[in-house]
Amino acid sequence: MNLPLKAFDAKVLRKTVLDMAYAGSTVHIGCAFSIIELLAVLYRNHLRYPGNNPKALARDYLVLSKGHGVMAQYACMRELNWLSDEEISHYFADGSDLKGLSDSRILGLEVTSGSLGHGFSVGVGLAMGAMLRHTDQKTYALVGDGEINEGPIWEGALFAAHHNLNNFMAIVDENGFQAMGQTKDVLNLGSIQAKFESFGFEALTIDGHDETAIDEAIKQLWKSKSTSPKALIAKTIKGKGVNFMENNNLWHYTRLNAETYTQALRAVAGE
Amino acid sequence: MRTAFSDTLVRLAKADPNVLLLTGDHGYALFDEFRKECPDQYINAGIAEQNMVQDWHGLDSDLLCMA
Repeated sequence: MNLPLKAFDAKVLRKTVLDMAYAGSTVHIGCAFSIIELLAVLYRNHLRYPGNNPKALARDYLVLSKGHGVMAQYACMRELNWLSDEEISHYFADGSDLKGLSDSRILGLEVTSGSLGHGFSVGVGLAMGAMLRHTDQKTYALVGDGEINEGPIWEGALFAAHHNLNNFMAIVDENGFQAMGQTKDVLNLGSIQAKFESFGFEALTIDGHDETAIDEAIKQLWKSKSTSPKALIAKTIKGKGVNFMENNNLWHYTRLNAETYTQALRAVAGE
Repeated sequence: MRTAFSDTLVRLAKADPNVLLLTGDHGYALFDEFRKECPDQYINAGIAEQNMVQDWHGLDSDLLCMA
């Protein structure tokens, strides 16, 4: 297929998210904006969908375990022509299939998530399946830093390391916030990289808004000869791209009005 | 009944290599025969059932049994 010259442009993706959030009068803008660059790099440079088919049997798997950020993924799926502009503009409308959490009934979404902590282990299972079938498929599980409060994450981490699932990569969106406040105030995580390393992962920490750094880290992790599963810790900013949303947890829940929508569009356009 | 259960699992797993058995560290002695006969189709996920259930979701299509 012919992608636009610069597909997955972060500014375009953020604009799509704003258009959806305004059209649907919905929340979770902040946690979509923190993963824009991560998803842009994954879709542009790493995820393989033979024939641009989201159900291709030989595809790589992207599990959005932090399902609340799904608008960012929809924005990428629009770039792939998996979603039309009309579907995007009817986001959250009566009768629309596009809801505010990841739903596996939507082509291109691997899991139903939003109940946190489970997508990670589904990804581990997908990776285990690929290993048992001896395919070269890769699995990425994108989790939030708040989400890794959940116990099943660490059960899954033990399992992935025990079974040498070096085709599995956990990506942690470390934006420093969860629903009710800063992660350090709610349940302090300490060093996420050290935790994954102690569970047997090979881990790197990068700036999650630097597309070159993201791309190089993913390549470096896959290039390793180690049998360890991989973890990419992405330091991000919740609400990234719109000055009045950045690190402001109100934008986990606040809906756009005509004024804030216009202001946010200007901000993402760099005006 | 335990023997019948075990014998049936072994028979099904030998007939179909897609059959996998996941256990949350349950089945002391019960799965010895399965482990011996079909070691590559046996996964003890440890005492970690929340992960095991979601692993199954990811492994999905061909799984026979969780214990």
